[in-house]
Amino acid sequence: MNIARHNRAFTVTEMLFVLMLFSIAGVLAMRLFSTSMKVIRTAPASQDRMAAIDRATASLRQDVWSATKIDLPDSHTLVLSAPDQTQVRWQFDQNGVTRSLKDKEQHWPMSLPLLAERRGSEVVLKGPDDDELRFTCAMLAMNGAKP
Amino acid sequence: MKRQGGFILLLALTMLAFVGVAILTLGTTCAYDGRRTMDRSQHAQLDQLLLAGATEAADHLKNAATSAGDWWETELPPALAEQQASLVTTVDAISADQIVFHVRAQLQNHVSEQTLRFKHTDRDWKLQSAEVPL
Repeated sequence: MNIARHNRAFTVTEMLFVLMLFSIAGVLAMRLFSTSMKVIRTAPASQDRMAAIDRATASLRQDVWSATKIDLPDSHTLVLSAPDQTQVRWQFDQNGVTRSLKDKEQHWPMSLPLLAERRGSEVVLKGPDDDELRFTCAMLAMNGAKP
Repeated sequence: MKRQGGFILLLALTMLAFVGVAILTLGTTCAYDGRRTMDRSQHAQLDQLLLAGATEAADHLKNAATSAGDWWETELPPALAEQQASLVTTVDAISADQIVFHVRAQLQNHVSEQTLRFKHTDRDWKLQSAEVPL
């Protein structure tokens, strides 16, 4: 029997295939959306963190450069003696970096674990992934550094 | 003719806008990070130049008579000279037992400076302080 079909419908297979395509497209769109939102949300915080690191390191560079003596009581604390005998204390902990000079304190918040180390006339700050920031002490480099 | 709904188009355009903003933000962060890396390498080089300036100032004290206002430019290796680097030392102040130098190092558009104070002890000049501005 040959019946002409004017109102042709979709088969179950076609419907399932289209549903599968829609699902894949939906999942991809959701992932793209969530990743985009994450990037938009975290990028300013990341730039703020980098700016805080830059400000802290500029200040640390100045202190280390002119220091006449470098003491490292532990890997989270750095004590720098200035030519006028004042001592600047740098503390690196989970809450950020703190610089203390007499009763004045400066704090740069950053969730970046840093460890201080001394190598000759240099102070090395080690970050995660073995990133290193080196600070030269001119006074010790010129007058002969004692390890 | 049946009017087609624009919901999917609107959704796609919104998604594109979000992705566009995300790419732009990521690009800005990457550019900032790249610029920081370049700045760091240049500042490390400038620190080395300042150290060289301090060493040369100490040598100059041993070998030549110095008076306030004297200045000299240190000859740098060709690799640095090609990068428009310069190292200039100026005698800022001088007294019987103290001398102050100002050292200016430049590399491309970055400049770093330091002030050196030497004190006369017995028969020799000794570096008393080295300060860099913030």
